[in-house]
Amino acid sequence: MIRRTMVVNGRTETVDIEPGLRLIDVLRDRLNLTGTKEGCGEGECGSCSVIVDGTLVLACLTLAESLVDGTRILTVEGLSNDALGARLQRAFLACHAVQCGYCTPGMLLAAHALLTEDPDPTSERIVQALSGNLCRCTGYAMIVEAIQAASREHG
Amino acid sequence: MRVHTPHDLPEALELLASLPGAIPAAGTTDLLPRWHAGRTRPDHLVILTHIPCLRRISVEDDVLYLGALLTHHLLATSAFVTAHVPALSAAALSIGAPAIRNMGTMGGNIANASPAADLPPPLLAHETSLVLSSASSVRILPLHEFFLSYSKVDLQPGEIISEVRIPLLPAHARSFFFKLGTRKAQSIAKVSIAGTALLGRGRVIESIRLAAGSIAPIPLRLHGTESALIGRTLTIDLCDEASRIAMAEVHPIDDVRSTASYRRHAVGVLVHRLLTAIERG
Amino acid sequence: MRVGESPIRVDGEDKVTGRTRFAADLSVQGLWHAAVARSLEPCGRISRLDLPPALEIAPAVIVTADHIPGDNVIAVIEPDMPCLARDRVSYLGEPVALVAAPSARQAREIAARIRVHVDPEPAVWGIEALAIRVLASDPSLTLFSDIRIEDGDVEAALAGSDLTIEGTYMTGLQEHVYIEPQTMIAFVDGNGIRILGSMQCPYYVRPAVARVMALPEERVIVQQAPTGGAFGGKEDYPSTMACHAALLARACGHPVRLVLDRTEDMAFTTKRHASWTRLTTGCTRHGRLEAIDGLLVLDAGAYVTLSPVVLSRALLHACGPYMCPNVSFRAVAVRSNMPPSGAFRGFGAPQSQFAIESQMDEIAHRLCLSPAIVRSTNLLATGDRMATGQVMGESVGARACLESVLLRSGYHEMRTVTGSSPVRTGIGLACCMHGAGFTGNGERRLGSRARLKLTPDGVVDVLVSTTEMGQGLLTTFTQIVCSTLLVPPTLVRFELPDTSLVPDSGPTVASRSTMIVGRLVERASRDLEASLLARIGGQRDKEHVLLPSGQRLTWVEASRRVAPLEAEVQHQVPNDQKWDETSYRGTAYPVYSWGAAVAKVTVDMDTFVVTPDRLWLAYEVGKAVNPLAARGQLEGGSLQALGWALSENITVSDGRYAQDRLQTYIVPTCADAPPMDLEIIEMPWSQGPSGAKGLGELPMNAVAPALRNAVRHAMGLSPTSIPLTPESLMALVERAR
Repeated sequence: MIRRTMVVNGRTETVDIEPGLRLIDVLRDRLNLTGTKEGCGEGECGSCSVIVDGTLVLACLTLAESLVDGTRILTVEGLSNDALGARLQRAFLACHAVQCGYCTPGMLLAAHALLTEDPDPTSERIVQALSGNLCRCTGYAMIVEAIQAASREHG
Repeated sequence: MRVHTPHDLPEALELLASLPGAIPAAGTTDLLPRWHAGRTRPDHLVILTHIPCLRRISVEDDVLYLGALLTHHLLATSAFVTAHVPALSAAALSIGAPAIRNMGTMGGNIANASPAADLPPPLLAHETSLVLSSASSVRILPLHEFFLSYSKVDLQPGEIISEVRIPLLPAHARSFFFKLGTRKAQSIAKVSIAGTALLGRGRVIESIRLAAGSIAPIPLRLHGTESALIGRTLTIDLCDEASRIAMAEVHPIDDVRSTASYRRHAVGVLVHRLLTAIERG
Repeated sequence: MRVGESPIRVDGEDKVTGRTRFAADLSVQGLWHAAVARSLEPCGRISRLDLPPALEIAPAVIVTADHIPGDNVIAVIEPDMPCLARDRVSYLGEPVALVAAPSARQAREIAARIRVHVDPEPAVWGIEALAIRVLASDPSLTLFSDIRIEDGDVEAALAGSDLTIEGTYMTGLQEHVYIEPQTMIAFVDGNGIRILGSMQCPYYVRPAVARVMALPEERVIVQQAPTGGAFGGKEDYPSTMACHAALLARACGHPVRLVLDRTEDMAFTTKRHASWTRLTTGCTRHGRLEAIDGLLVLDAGAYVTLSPVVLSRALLHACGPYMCPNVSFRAVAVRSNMPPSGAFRGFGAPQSQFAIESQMDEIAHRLCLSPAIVRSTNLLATGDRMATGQVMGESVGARACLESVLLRSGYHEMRTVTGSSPVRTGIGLACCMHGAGFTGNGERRLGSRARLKLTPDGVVDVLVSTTEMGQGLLTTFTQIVCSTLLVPPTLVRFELPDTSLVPDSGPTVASRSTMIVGRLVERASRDLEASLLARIGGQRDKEHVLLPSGQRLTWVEASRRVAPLEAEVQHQVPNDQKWDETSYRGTAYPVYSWGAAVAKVTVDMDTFVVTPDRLWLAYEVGKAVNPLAARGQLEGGSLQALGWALSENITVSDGRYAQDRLQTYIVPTCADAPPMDLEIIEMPWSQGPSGAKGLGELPMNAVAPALRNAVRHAMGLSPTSIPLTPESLMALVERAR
């Protein structure tokens, strides 16, 4: 068992981690942050996308112990307290980019990583940024439009 | 299982040497799902991602040194890599999707020994050598000697791939990567081909190196095709001929992603495209 | 928040903040975890079952068929499928034993130690092999269902036709890939069982659990948790999930959660039926259909489950949106040793319409006519008669859809250009229809109910068993209530579907929710308003209630005076909608929705990779209650159809689906989705809420044949099966050489 301190959505959390625990298990089972979803457990669906120290990663492929103390993690639960996150949430709602909602947290985080790096992306760039996040409900167009809307709202 | 997170290379190698059953790990994109499903049970895992020297990019004496822990994202976006080893950055960009490219590493992509891995073909075509480090030794091994058979590589207990060394080609050399995958993104190769070439006056092929993925139990150089091309003038007819030789040279199989006959056909198409690209510069 | 607007989803904020708790997200006190031990053989008698000793695994528990208190059966239609296999297994992966343990890992490890010994017997699978045996009338084949439509004199009509052509078409298995895997929790509550999970149909789960657990139905409470996509995949399979969880909860005394991991979910739950269709069509030289002689075969899998009704819908859509005076069409669902196939958006109609829409292009090609002209010549219109004898009434948008896609795509101009080698462009067209609501007498048998309750604070509680699974039903129903009662959405509240609280509104399937249940909600709203006004002696004046005294009350003030009030309504099928299920004659569906698609593709003639460049879509849905939600359904369904047509390939290897992971089963990513130019056409239907007809399944029908026809146009060769993988197109070219 290893103790790790991480800053999750701005809050410092200390967690005792047993060997082999994945970041998704820490978030969901230890911190009760169940907004991060497990869709496949092998990095194919993107539902567990989170941002670790500014980088988009998959929580189901991240070994919790491999994170150093002080690692900053952003999950869907932290988006409302973040200007860009809140803008994306509003845009997803307004553009009907949400249906069943299971891919939505991962989509929002992938979009957040994109707009942080490129506040005014082309639609091709948006498509590339979302290409690791499967959605089976929408056909994607309304999600792309939501990200464009969030980007415009900023500009 | 115990997990260790060393911060420098000697410490990591010492852990791997002293802990029985210890295995190195990097992005864990492949390892963690297998561990979680109970398909692998290492006693010790030595995480290499916090060792800065394993991410270096440098050039000395016409050799490009790339740390094994460089992620696919870094390979795809590094100005150095894009300029000197375009096939490698193209291959890195073709892997998975952004989050996977942020996590997966070059060393992992090589050491996993998947026949469908995207980075080995361009690395083979660039005559890459691996630096294999352990607590007691450092050895340098040409990449083509590293792959032994399906899922088997020449990596001794306690050893890691610490670096790859890519001899720089002259500025007028050509380097390309072509992949036929399962879809437009998040795509596993049905067939991939990488190639480098130097063309002389009158488009005479002075040197050429071709390598392919997903066509045999291990990634392979296409030596037969190369030797048929060397010294000859690169024409459309020669492209056709090379395609046919390449198709005869590979030994693909049927699997969940494609069929042997399609793969063989695709090798011909991709070799043709690669040679055409080389010809056009 | 009125009908015709696109307000923000009522469940949207919880979904973008991560607050929505799906069944896997719920913290449950004392929860144990389940795992399933399955057969490793596709067919044979169980000779022995090796279980680890109870003492070794304690406190974990194992449940086998011998522990089932009630009937060992999950009866979707026929009582042929065991809850746990006892004497024999009929497909690889069939559940044989169940494990519950304090941790999911323990449960999985124990399940892996259970050994099912089977004396193997010959097994059958593969749609082509099955079809050949159907053609040979092989007596060893089990036909779960064998139905026909007969109309006119096909033999004579074929003999007299200018052109007779035969075509055989196949469609592959398709996995739903709802992003939330199947999840179910069971609680032992007093002397009953409570089920909470991801599902479409709480009132399917309740009788299934009651029968297995030997409980009266009222002692089984079934609650739907927020559901992360379903597409038919959570229509019948949740009954099995719930029975398994319930058995374990009873055995261990803890709440038990069963979550299928993605591979289990892909390998063993239901799929869209693979299909094989042979069509012989006769037509005039101008392309008018004279006769259709057809045989359709579905691979049902090992048990009956929903296959007869899927087959029925397939047959009823097998002539497409066309009039044909002479039809002889037989359809059979055949047993195999694969996991049962089941419901999947479209429910058989996409398979049979793929065949007829492919055949329409073959007819056009042979007659040197435009595929658009051939379709236009035969499209159903008001007053036309289908082969079942049903006469088309109001709201027939077939032609409007065809004209819309032709005009917007510039189909005729693009047909003339096909590009040159190696990259060729192709344009393909297809039309479709979809019968909305249950087939035949289904709605009459169901007699669906909806109840509204008015509370003293003016809140209208909507009590329906219809489930939200992403399609936006909570929002559209809110709009219907708001539009009818002229109240703000803050006064509309939903109970999560819970069989102890809500009446049976029927299952959430068959494009019936908005059209049938939405209409009930509309009617119940009117009834509620009428009884409020009667009690209070007033009348409505816009949002207010006007009393005889001239006093104007707000809705909340009026409610306070008369609440609580209730209104419950039941669906009644009009007497003129009659269906005879033996002769297959009458009104199969009260109304149809219509569609058309044009697809533009690029085919790389070297690699045989098909790139869909753009889709032009038109769907006629009566009335879009929420246009953006409708767009989401129609685009999402169209992309699902595109995946089915191009990349979603399932092959069978040793009785197991070879593509059982998201890495190998290729669904479209964002980068694979072409731009879609969509027009929603509204031709209101007088019996739908504000004119609405069902639309959820409609987009599954036309896109696949449009893509096939585009590929045919580009290549000049006729693909007969989907998915149109590069491998299959290469084989097509090789056969043509």
